[in-house]
Amino acid sequence: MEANIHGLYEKFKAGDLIATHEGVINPKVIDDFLAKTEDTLNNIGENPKKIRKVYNIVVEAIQNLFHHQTVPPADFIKNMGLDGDKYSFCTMVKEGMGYKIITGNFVNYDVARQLKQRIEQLNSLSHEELKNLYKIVLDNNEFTEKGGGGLGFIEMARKSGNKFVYDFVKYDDKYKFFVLEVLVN
Amino acid sequence: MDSINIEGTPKTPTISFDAETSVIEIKGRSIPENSIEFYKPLVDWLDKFADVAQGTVNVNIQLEYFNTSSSKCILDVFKKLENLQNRNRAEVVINWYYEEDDEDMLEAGEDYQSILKIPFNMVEIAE
Repeated sequence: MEANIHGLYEKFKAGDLIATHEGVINPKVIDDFLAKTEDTLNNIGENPKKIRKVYNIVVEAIQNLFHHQTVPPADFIKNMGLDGDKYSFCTMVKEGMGYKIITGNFVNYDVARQLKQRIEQLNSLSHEELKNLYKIVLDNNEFTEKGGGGLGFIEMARKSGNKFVYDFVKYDDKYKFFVLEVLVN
Repeated sequence: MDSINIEGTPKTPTISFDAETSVIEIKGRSIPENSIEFYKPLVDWLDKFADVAQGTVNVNIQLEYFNTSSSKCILDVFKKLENLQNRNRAEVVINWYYEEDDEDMLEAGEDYQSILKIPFNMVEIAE
């Protein structure tokens, strides 16, 4: 089964690659990914406004992985030689005049169901409705158990201006692999 | 009362909280993985500052990037300042700086402005 997940990663990073990472996400990986994103976009002379938008979304996407990454299924760990590490991937490719940020991580069936509902809800909202929801959640005085503010997905939806594309790939009877694509153009 | 001065890093902003001058500044990037850890001492400082503050408190916020967990912590900072004003301890003015083509940063300031009851000056910086 692990070939499918790794194969997914290989498929997503094919193309005009800006930055990519597969494996555990830690603060050092985040720093490197953000530096690579910023340097590459600056070097190709991208519009500063678009760089800011892309950078903001990459921060949310990769920190979301950092807070929610899990230890993958045992057979995946063994076959990938992961030594018990957590696993997820984050990759960014140029697509037309824009950029696509793709993340992937294992989730159990309960989390998959909740995430699907959440994403569908956000995909149904207009820009104005996302703005209002952002302000409500910003002011709710709540932090999630992972230390997040519950705003990451809303912010990505708001900043990208595009609907999320997503998939939950069945891995086994306990795990699905969640793939999220965010387009900034 | 002691001031807080923290030098900025690629992930955390430069902080200058000065009780003597009543100038409070947050500048740079605020994208730490653990925002609560970074902002807690600042929020605690504002609790103590509430006992000594008087006159006008000038708050300068000049952020290049901030992540969503920082956004909640920054709201906590603003709410402490709002309380200070509500207790008639001092008059609080927030100067929210944004680069001239950074509409998202302007909108972020307006989001805070709509939640809070303290005056915001939106200050455009020429690039």
